[in-house]
Amino acid sequence: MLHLRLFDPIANLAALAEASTFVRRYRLLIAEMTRREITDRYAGQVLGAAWAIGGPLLTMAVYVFAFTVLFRGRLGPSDNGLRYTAYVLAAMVPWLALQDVLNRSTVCVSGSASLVKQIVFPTEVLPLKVVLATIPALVVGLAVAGVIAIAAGATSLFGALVLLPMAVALLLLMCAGFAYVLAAVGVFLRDIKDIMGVLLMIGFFIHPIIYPPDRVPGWLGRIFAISPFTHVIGCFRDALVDGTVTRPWSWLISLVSALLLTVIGWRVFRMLRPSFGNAL
Amino acid sequence: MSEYAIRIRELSKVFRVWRQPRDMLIEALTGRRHHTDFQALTDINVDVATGTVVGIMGRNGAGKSTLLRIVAGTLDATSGRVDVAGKISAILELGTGFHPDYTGRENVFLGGLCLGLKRNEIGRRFDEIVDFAELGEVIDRPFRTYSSGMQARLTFAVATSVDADVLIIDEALAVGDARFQLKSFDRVRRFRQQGKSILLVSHDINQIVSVCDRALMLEAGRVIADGNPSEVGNQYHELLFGPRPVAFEESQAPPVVVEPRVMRQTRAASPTLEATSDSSMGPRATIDCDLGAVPEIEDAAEATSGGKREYRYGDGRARIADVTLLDATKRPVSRLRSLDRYLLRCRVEALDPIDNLCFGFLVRDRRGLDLFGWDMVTAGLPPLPAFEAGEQRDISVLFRANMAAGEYFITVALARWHDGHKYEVRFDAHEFVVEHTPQLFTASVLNLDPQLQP
Repeated sequence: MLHLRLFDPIANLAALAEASTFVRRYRLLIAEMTRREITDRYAGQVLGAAWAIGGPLLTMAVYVFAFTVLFRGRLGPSDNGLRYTAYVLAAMVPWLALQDVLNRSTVCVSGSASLVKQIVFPTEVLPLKVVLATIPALVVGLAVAGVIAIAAGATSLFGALVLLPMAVALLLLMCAGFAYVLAAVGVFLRDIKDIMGVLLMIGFFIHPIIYPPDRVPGWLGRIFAISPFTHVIGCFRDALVDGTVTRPWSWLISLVSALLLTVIGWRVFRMLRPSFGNAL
Repeated sequence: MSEYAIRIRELSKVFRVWRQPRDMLIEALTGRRHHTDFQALTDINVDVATGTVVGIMGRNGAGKSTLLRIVAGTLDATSGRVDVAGKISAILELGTGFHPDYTGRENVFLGGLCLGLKRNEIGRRFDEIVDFAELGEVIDRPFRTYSSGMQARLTFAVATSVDADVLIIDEALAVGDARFQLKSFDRVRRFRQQGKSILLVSHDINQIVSVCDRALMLEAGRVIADGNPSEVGNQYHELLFGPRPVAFEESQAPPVVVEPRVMRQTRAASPTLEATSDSSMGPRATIDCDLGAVPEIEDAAEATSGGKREYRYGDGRARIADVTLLDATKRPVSRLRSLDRYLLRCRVEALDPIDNLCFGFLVRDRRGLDLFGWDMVTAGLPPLPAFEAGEQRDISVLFRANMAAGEYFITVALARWHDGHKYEVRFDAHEFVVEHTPQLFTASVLNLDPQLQP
């Protein structure tokens, strides 16, 4: 079924060019659909779109409370617990964003069946809006994590202003890649929604999110290193906890895998898109 | 601009049908076949010239919507190719792309963006769209609060305000009231004048005849007629109401079994039919049906031959074997031109020797409203010459089609002269269509042939 030569550089470069042309051409529609994706989630609620900010803020409050009071940890002798909290949040926040995107992208095309089937509509917008719609929550979470990190004296100006946006960009690219694949597959295999639920739960524990990678046996650490997400977590930790590049390999691997995932996701989506009409 | 707006070459579409989603996965993993094929389109070759309006007719399930979806690009073809020159705008289903909870205004913007307009372009056209859809103040209410007609109008207005080169419309013109339909037609014609091409599906033959330059008829996924809308319309009409060729029977529901019934049961089941026949078929004094005179058992059957609506009863001693409308050149027709003269010809067959036979006919519209009734007794004519057993004879009545555009049904009956005993009544035995009458209001039923006096 798959005839993609996944690592073919020419095809991948072409796909990258195609994707960026698409984004430029449909930026208005993308912006509008994203806005709607965010407001739709809270449609009909009393507080409405305020939940887009309030929800993540409450979640973060709970995590901060949990990791400063309940599950206290220390990263070193000088750590009063805040540094550990910043360390956990630096991974938790991007994980929540990833989780949000992966869950929603599985149904983003099948849930808009009428759009896809009935009008001449650029379907490629749908996974993209799911990725972009997670940004408000991500920004809120990162702001909270940043405040904690500053309070712990962990990060630096360079980390917060240069490394953090770069890490966010890598995360979003990676999310987009996954989102395109899942959205396309989700059209044909509706079960993917529930499969992702289980995988994400497992993923939460097998990624070094609430514990440092060196606290696990070496062989497990090597398995961690396979997941591109482990490296993105590393980037976020560089930005928020260490304030400088301490994991150069993670940055490099993240960059390569984020770009590769994006183009592959795009190409898989483009390949399967003509058949969407049959399954919806 | 290229010569052809749409070129369809050897297009076929096969839908794979899996009994359950699991079968699809099993097939993908094992490579073994777990689906059944459904051939929706077979070898379609159509060129649509730039600046023409092409109508597609066909029964439900003939493949019309599948074809439109493939041309619009929302469905892939199994084989063959479709080339479309320029930008497409499509209305494949009304109200789609529209969010029920958003206001009409927001939906116009979102719909426009989906169809590729820029925000300021939509802003420029906004007033015109609202104006065309006749929504006024309502535009700021949620879309879900709109009536279906309002939803239809707004969708149509948005889709047609896009500067597309090719417009695809699936049944969208059928909704909305008569006035909006007229406005829609005007817009379709303007589109064509601007050198744009339109592909539309409609069940309404009149609509196709009045708007299209060319018509296609699909049946079982193939193009079986292509050409002048009026001629294709006739063929479509024949396909719908004519005697069915055996080939089509296989895929359709089994033919209705004609079985005799006890008259009284029929009466109880359909009192309105009887009432109609009594009050309007016969002259009140003479042919009115006298219950006591009706034999205990009569043939009452829903025949399949003369069209879906036909209902037939009578004692069967005399029958009307065939009902035909002929034009001035004695050719059978099913599409009539308003104000022309036509001949209603019935083949009457007597099984027993019968004298004092009287013939009558009735014209009803599609709602079942009686428009006209006539019989020989009321008209003061003598009975038909006596029939011998087994004799067949044609009865012909010349009449003028004083109807406006629409579908009409002819009921024919044979009764006994003095007491109205029914030998044969065939309700809605023959359907015909009166062609579009542009000179009259669309809602007109009759054509009084008005002449403005100097």
